[in-house]
Amino acid sequence: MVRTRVGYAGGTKEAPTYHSLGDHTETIQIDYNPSQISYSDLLDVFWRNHNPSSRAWSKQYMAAVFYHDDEQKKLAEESREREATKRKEEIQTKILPFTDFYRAEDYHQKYQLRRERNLLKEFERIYPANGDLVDSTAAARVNGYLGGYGTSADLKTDLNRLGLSAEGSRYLLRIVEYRNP
Amino acid sequence: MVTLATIEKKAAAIPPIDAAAPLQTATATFALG
Repeated sequence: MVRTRVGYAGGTKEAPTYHSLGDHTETIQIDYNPSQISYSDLLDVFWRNHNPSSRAWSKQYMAAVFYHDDEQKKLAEESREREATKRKEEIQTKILPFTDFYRAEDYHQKYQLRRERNLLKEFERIYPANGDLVDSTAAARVNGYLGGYGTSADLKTDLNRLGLSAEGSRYLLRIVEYRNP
Repeated sequence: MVTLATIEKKAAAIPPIDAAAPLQTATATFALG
């Protein structure tokens, strides 16, 4: 995973905001290195992390794949068929063409990292412009570890590449060792 | 879809993992409900 950001997609309203979302859906957008992870792998993670048989109460919280090209469309539709066969129930998750993506407000980005003020301050010193912070692989990685993804062994191999101070590194490692040893 | 990295690699102290980020990436967009 190179970069992650949350935002709004799939609608027609220009420049939506959280409080004026229009017809958009809350989404996560990922930049990834295809030589490290495939789109099919990402689809597997996607299907494992939501309930595709649940009908959305609103477009804001609809489950969907927004495909960026014909290959993604084909893989997404095939994966949906596999899920339907496996689950033996109707799949509500939509497969839709990607159109526009609008970044959500700063306070929605890197949510777990924002709850750890000391670690956030370290990234803010490196990246005074919030857009750069959101686009940081290191910030995305730390956000993931704080969210309970990745083991302490994974973190130990990453730790000297994240740009954190010695104190920040120790603090993060303590959290991950406690939550996900 | 291939996009260019958006981080400017001009800061001296950027984390090594950011400095090593590939310039060309693919993008995926999902909504988890």
